[in-house]
Amino acid sequence: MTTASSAAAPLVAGTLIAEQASAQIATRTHQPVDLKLEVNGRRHRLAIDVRTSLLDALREHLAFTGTKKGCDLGQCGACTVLVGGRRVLSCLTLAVATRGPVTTIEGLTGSDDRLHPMQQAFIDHDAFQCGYCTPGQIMSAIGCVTEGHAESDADIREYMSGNLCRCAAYPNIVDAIKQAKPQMQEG
Amino acid sequence: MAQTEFFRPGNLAAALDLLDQYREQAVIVNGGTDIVERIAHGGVRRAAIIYIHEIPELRGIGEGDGFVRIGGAVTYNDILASPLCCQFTALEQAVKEIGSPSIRVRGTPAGNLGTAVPAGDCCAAMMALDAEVVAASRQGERAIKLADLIIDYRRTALAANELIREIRIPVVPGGKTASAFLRLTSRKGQDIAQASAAVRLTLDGDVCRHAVIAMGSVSKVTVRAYSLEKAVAGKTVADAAEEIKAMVPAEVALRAADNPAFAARPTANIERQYKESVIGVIVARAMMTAYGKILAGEQ
Repeated sequence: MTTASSAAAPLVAGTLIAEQASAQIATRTHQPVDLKLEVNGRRHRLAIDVRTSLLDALREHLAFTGTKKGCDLGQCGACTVLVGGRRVLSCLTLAVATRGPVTTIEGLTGSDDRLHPMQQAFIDHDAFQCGYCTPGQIMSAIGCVTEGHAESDADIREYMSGNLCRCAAYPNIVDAIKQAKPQMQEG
Repeated sequence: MAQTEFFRPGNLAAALDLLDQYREQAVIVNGGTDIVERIAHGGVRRAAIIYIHEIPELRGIGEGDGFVRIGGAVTYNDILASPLCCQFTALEQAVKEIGSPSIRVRGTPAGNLGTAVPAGDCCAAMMALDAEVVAASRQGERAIKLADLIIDYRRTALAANELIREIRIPVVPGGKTASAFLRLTSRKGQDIAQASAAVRLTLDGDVCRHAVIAMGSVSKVTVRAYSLEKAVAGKTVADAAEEIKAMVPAEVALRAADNPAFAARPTANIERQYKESVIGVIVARAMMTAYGKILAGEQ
């Protein structure tokens, strides 16, 4: 079980470093580092302290404020985004270590302005009250379905357990995921 | 400190070179589920961040020389997807309950051991399974038993230029041996253990020939419950379980003399009473689960 990780493709890079890095040489960057990040289908370039979390990079540097900061400790799930299609907690990810395209809640709506089936399902089922956890819930719910972990109510509850909702919209969130799942699989 | 540099070494040798160069001035980031928030919030400030999570040599799971070998960057999800690892019921049960699905995608057993907090679920499971880590540095490698690795709260015996290259769990012939892990939390998901126990039980007929018992969250560090191990040896499982239910193991260390930080908590008295009254039951239940596995013919 190994990942096909290529050390020679640093995301963090001045262009020179990107071309020269090899499996033998550590990628070396200085502060602030010049970071290229693909978010919602667009490439962004930002100068950033290497200690910055992906969450702060998205919110403070790129103004993707749809991704919420809840606990900032990895416990609440409000900051969940997709990286390379897999859900991650952006508060526990260093921006410079991020590999693969990032999708935030802002990136779900297509060019025709139609909501993603999961967004529509959250509305249809009233799967929120205050809405603060909702972007994270929706991103996590999409991850849950694409991972194949939405086969039953119990499955959904288990695999959504990292996303807390203080308004306790949990039953409606489960219903929303059940509605969106077949639509996502068709579409 | 003015400057922090970020390194993404492409292989183990490069990582060890960096670690040797920066030593105490380096912080290793593996899955990052514990350390990243401390870096991002400024609690940990070092000259170098060495990101090892994608080093291919650290991502493998294999078997050899009587051990199951788990690479240092293997994630909890990798463990759950591996029949080799899940033959150890205690490990599977511990990993299943750690954090949340998003944590288990990134978090690693090696990180859990290296962080060395008393509630580390993998620490207890690995200790009961008699695991050791292989610590690698530029100067070479050494194997460290878990009990020798964890030396104090958030402190390990790893030198500043070492990292955990591999965790090794000895494979014990099945049939008479099985393990289990159990923890008590206030919520089902996303919580840390109030008390936890991992047991590896070896039977002789219906009698406990040998039990290795590790406990979490009842001391500054994960501890072996030698007192309970002694108490159960030679007894039938049912008798042993009944007896240890009522015991407060001698290794529980929550009083001011041995654990000032815990004793200073405002709720320390209540927490201590609670932990002391439940730990015996948790151990007994884990032991009964392991017993059930043996009867069912599982490891």
